[in-house]
Amino acid sequence: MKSKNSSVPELVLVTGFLGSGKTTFLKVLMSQYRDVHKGVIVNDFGKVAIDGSLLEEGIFKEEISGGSIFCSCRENEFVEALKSMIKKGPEIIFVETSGMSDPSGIERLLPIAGKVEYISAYCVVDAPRFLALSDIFSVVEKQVASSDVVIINKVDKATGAELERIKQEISMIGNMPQYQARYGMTGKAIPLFKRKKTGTESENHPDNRPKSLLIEWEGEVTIEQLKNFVGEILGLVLRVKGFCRTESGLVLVSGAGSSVEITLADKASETGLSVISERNKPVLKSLKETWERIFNIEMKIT
Amino acid sequence: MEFIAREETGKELLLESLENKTLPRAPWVPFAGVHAGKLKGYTAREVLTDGEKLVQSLLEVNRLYRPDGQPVVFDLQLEAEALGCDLVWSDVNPPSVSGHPLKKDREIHGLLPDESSGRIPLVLEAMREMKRKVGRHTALFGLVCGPLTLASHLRGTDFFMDIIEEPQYAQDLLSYTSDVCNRMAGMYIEAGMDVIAFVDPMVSQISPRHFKRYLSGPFSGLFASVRQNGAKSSFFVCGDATKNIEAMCQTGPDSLFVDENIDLVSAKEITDSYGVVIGGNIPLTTTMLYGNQKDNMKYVIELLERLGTRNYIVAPGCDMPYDVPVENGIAIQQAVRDVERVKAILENYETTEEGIEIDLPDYEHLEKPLIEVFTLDSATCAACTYMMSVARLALEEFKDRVDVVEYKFTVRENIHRIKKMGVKNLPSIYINGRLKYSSIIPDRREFFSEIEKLLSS
Repeated sequence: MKSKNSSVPELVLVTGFLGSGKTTFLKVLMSQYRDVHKGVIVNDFGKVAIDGSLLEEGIFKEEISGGSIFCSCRENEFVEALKSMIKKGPEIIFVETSGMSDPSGIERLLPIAGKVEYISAYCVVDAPRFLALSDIFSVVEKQVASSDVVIINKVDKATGAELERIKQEISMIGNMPQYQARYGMTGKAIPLFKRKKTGTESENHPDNRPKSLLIEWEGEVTIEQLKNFVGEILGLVLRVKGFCRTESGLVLVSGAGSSVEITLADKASETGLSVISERNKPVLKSLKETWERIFNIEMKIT
Repeated sequence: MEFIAREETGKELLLESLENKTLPRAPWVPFAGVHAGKLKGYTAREVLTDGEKLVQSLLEVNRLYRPDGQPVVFDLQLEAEALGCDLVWSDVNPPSVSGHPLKKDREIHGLLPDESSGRIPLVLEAMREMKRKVGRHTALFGLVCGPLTLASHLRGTDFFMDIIEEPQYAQDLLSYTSDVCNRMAGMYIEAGMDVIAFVDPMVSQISPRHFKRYLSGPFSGLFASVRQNGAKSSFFVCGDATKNIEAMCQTGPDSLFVDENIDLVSAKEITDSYGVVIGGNIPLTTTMLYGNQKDNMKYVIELLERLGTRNYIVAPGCDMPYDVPVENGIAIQQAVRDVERVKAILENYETTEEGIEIDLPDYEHLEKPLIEVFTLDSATCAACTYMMSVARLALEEFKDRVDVVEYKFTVRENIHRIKKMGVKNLPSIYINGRLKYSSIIPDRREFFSEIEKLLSS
């Protein structure tokens, strides 16, 4: 499966929100690497459903205990676990991150632990829950954004329409390949995706991160108005999404690039349009002007 | 009547900072939780379960790091344990929650902790003791686990699904955990805490809309209650909470502490507009734990240059890792107190000036023991002062039978000596050219017996 000439171990990250099926997928992924000295670092061996495959003979193991808390004050535990894993001499190290963790900062910690080649990050998403989760937990989007491959798991529990929306949402976060899976299995071997980005610290620098604005208003608008508004501002911003009340009912608005999609929705915890734009680009004034031109109700941007 | 000018205490400085005053320097709050134990050789578990060891360790933090404010305990599992969560202990980290009482039986009983629950009596006693011993000159922080993190401790990760599937239950649980927070804050204020900080790392993980929906109310209530009880308040968050900064400010804390995931300059624009003081964000792992003195001084000087001394408090990003080298804490306090001189030190680090030749003593053929003390500057750095005092005591004791000399890093010539000697940490004591004490100040008896051994050999 893997040929290696140097003694620098490779590192593969498996990330994903709580309950998305990371451990199940990790087992499937690891089974593809036969005849290789493997190491695995997980958040808590006591909690993952062990059916033997993660604990089988010959696999080096390290555990990070942090419970459900993910905090920068616990990063040193990851560094120490990785340090001792490197000492054990595996050829490839799999890291399963905690479900609430934001993996975007992991690269700056790797050089402290030692020499590793960070080759790939897989993000497992929970198909039936992804849309609701990404609406509430900002970390869900960060997990997708930091990955090289997305595994859409539990596809059998989502409808075709839901799957389409999930695929679209993910493609708005990044253009990484997407695989559909059941029980962590995609039905075919998953090719190894090498990271395009190396040393992305500068890319993740706070000054370069996109900024997010929220447009809120009271009352109903029309689908036509929404379509016009989102269509116009898309030239200015990177992405628009959110649930809105219209005269035709509750809708989910989703826009990126030149495409605006508006679909009927059943329920939403909050309404409003979330707008993602480049950090240093002044967009407030134009957003307000465009809004005033199309709608005749007051809005608030925060 | 004659008035004698006196220097402002660190506590006054910190409290004035929380009143948005412009200050001669930024205050400094080292979040030494389990790390305090390291200073006295105690494990994380010892320092969190033994009141006497806790106070000894906190006093050592106070002595070495000269804080303007300091927390008494940094353990986000304390309330959870008092409410029935199981903990897993570690020697070098705070405990983790392993069992969640509301996981199986989800009924919220509404019981509130009191002065006898779990480790709370121990903490209250440590607070009173610290108040007596250093409370006049140091502002004391009582840290309370925030309602969102506490809810996830009690219910486990199911709580995050509750937010989606059973929003009313999630809201009820948050209302209960907020009551717990309020009770804890009340007890801590009574025990003499000047600032109550609600520490809620999970806040960085949720969207601003959900922050507003679930947490704005509870936090606003908590900060109003702290204010009513005459204390100052703080909101601590870990992780990338960039999007929530404004909503957090709107809940009305006096201050907000963040970690390195937040760009402090952009965040301060928001906090300034709400009159909220911001604190942070020295990186815990890359700089404090694995960096050296120079890295730490540099980071702090840069922070101060970008943020100024108004509405800003220098602090680590969160609870300091247990093994942070002591000298890094010393370097930070030095940078906070003596910006200009530390800038000069940093320049000196970079200097590769030719022409200064340093002749090291012939250590193998000395007439008498030579005690060399390498310091940042014993006039301003507390740890350096203590190190130098021990050396001076030795001089008083052994008089002309020993030689004692101080090399301050602030003198350019000494940089060359320090580099040539390979001195890594300041302050350090070398005897006859060999490193004997690095950062940790020796006990007088131990130090004297070391010298006596040399004199008799």
